[in-house]
Amino acid sequence: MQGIDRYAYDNRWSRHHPGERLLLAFGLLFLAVWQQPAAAPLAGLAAILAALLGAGVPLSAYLKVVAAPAGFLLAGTPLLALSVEWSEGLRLAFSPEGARVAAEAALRSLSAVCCLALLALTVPVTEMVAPLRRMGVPAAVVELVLLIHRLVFVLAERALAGHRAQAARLGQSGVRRSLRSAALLGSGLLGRAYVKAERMELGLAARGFSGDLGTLRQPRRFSAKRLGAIVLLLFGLLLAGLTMPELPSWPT
Amino acid sequence: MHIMEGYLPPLHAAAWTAVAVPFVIAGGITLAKTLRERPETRLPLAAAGAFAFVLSALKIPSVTGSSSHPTGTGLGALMFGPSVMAVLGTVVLLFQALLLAHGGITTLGANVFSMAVVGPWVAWAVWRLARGAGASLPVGVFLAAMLGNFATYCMTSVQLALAFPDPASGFGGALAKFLSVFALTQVPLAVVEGLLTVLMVTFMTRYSRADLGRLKGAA
Repeated sequence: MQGIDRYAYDNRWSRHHPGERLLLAFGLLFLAVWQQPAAAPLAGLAAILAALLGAGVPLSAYLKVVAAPAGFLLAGTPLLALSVEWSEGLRLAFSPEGARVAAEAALRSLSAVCCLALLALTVPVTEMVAPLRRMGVPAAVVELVLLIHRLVFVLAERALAGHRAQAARLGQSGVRRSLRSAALLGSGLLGRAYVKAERMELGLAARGFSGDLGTLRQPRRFSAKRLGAIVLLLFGLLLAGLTMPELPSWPT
Repeated sequence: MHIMEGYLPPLHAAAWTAVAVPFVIAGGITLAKTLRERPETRLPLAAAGAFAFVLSALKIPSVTGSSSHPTGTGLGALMFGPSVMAVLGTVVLLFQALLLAHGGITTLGANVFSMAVVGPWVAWAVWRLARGAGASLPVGVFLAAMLGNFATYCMTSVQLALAFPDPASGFGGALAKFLSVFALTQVPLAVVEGLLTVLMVTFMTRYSRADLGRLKGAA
């Protein structure tokens, strides 16, 4: 979590207008999910290159984000290739049609995860939430989302410290004890969150808070050159996807 | 139980988003009204949201020896009510996608529906029924949290089965397939989550009764 947040704030593109990155990441995500699955890897590959070469996110950080979902995918997708039938007793069999569906889902999902990683690693959550206000979400709710984001990091740190302290005192040895420890930690965190929130409220009130967190922003302009390049890339990928042949069916 | 980014075909992802949106909007309207009328509830609510996120990242022991994470849907529904939980749950799921790459943006709608709508409503309904039938607090909490978790994974199985019907036996076969795989891992987890929630509620009523009271004013 810390890793993602760090690169989201500090990458080669962080001085550019966030709208450019949002357009690129969401455009690629859309292509990865909406196009026929054989073309999805093109969008995924573009996302990887954009993150590593464009935004300068280190490979290790990128892999760390993608590794867990990729693992789930490897574990879960083969199930789609199995088919069950119970008309004449329970029968479990490999199905070529299922294998094709599984391959499609895996390609689409892996490519989409690469695009999600690009989005998460280059755009800070605060900048993703800001456009919500223009989309009609009430300002009060948007502000609540930002406050939650702030508190999540504070609270996650407490949770980690608590977990470490419990582990050091053998609180995680055995199922019974670790369950009890988790419950103690969790219930203690709620009080923690309130104390933290209360202090924040007090601090804000002391500074004349009237409902809007005004922050000084660096004026960032859209660059016509970069926008043009992004649109061109997306359009090129769309065309390439349209001309690509569909996935071959499983050889039988 | 999160459906990962891009796993659902585009039409399914769009359809589940359309199904989930009304619940989230309804919750958002309630929430915006509460915030307008009583601005002092803003920080308790933010604390509750952050709490829900961190809770879902808490390690709990799993039977297979590894560890897993509670969904927190049951506890959230009991504490904030299912309507507000739809909004807080959406925020939590969004942050899980953006900060942990867990779940996804295109599958957000499907995940919101199973984890922030169906799970909380089932947990809440079970809680009301159990308390109405005279069950004690721990029993009610246990049943609500366990069945809330259980309902969430049944819903996820339905979503997956609709998206990936079995080539031979269709939707029913796929549902049986997904449910039976989940049953191995998720039924014990649902029980563990039930136990965890009972312990947490016990500790909270013992040590932080005042905090719980404040929450009642907020949600």
